[in-house]
Amino acid sequence: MDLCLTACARAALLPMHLLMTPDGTVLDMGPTLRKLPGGDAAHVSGILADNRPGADADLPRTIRAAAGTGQRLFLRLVESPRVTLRGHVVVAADGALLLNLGFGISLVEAVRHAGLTDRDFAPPELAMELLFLHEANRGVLDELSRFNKKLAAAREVAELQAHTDPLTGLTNRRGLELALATALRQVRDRKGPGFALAHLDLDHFKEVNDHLGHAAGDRLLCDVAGILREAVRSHDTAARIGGDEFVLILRDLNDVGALERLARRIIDRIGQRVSAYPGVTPVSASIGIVLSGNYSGQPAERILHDADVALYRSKNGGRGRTTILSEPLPDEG
Amino acid sequence: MQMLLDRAVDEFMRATYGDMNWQELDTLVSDGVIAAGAPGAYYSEALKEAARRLSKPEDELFEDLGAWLARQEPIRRLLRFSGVDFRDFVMRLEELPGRARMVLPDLDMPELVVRQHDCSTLSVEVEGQQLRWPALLAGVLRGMADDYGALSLIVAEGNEISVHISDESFAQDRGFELGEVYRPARAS
Repeated sequence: MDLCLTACARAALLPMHLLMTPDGTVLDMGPTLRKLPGGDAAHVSGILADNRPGADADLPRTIRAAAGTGQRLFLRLVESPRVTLRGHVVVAADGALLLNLGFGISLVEAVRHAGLTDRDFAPPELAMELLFLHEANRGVLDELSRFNKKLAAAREVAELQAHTDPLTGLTNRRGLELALATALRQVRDRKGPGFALAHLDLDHFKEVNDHLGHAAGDRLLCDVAGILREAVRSHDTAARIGGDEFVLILRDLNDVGALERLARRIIDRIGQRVSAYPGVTPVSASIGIVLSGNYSGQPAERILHDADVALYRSKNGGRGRTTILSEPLPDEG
Repeated sequence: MQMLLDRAVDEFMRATYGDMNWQELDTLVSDGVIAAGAPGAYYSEALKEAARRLSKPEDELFEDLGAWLARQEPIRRLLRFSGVDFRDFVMRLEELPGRARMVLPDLDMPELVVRQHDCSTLSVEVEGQQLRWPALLAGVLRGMADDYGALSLIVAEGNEISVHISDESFAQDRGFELGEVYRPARAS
């Protein structure tokens, strides 16, 4: 049985069709195709162009050939070249050619261009589903990138917290180990003066805690942290590694005179601050300093150990003073 | 997926009941959830607790959440893809679970069966026994009726929602253009 469609039925069933004579004269167009730029063209080449590279300039010839072989046509709009179309053509009554078109992946572009709506697409078309997915996909991706940013920020905060002493805000022991490893790596990688590591301990701190209470002790620790923070430069590290023990990593500093002056300044300032706590033996701090240049190739523990020994020499030597080791201690045992 | 739900509930509560109220609730619920060791339960616990505090039936709160969701521009737009008018939207609700799964495969949305009783009365049956879905969907329907400008009566009872449309174009339709893609304003 041969089927004959009225123009009205054709328009309803195939809103994107174009009926043309073999030489390309437009006989009719579906309502949706009419809405597109060039929808009033009298000749097929006024609305459509072949989108294949190296295409034949004679579009009707290409369409006629496709009608013979059943091949797909890859077309675009003449006036909006970014809107691409896929075409399917058959021979209709009286030798006319019936070309049906569909938007490929350029659907989103076409809809925006021509202001198309749900009613412009034939019901079996997946156009609405594609548009829906396109928009939903974007929405979900936006949300995901929002979560990712949030997670990254939360991770940063957590990492910072993991390396920070909650009382004083200085670096904690874990943070110090990382900073020391980094400093050692830098010394190994590029020659420079190396760094100095200072181990500091408050004198008679226990008395503050015992006589004035832990709150006062904590306040003093925070004051000391403030003094150390002021004394070091931005690329140095000031850490509290427990109780009343602090460690400084002073980058690119091996000048004994400069280190002595810096240590003196810290001890004096701590002394001044402590005099504000009444009824306590004036406390100050003792410091032991080692220079990385003396420990080439040695592990971090060795440097920390020697700084600790230097600190105890200061304490045994009468407190409130600094000991700088000019050479590594002999190996024990 | 879980984060999406949590954020939706979080924003809904902030928008509807104000920051102060919610922050306190937030802490309380977080503590409870952490203590219970079930982080996935956050949003549902939060709503349960909120309903208790507001002395509001839980399903009423779910209905409010549904209506609020339908007012959020990105979600409103996605919903408007399934219907040229409100009646069409209700008739095509059966497609909604499939569409939802395309976007959020983890969303455990029940199947829906739509029946037309006469030219102005329809009903939507929510399959399964989860009674929060009918309340949530009733809210979404309420929000979408407003969006299309339709005057309608929407009642959820058990797992069935009845929709009575008395005037399809009672108020101004909020409009929907296919080509206009919503871009959220970025605060940062």
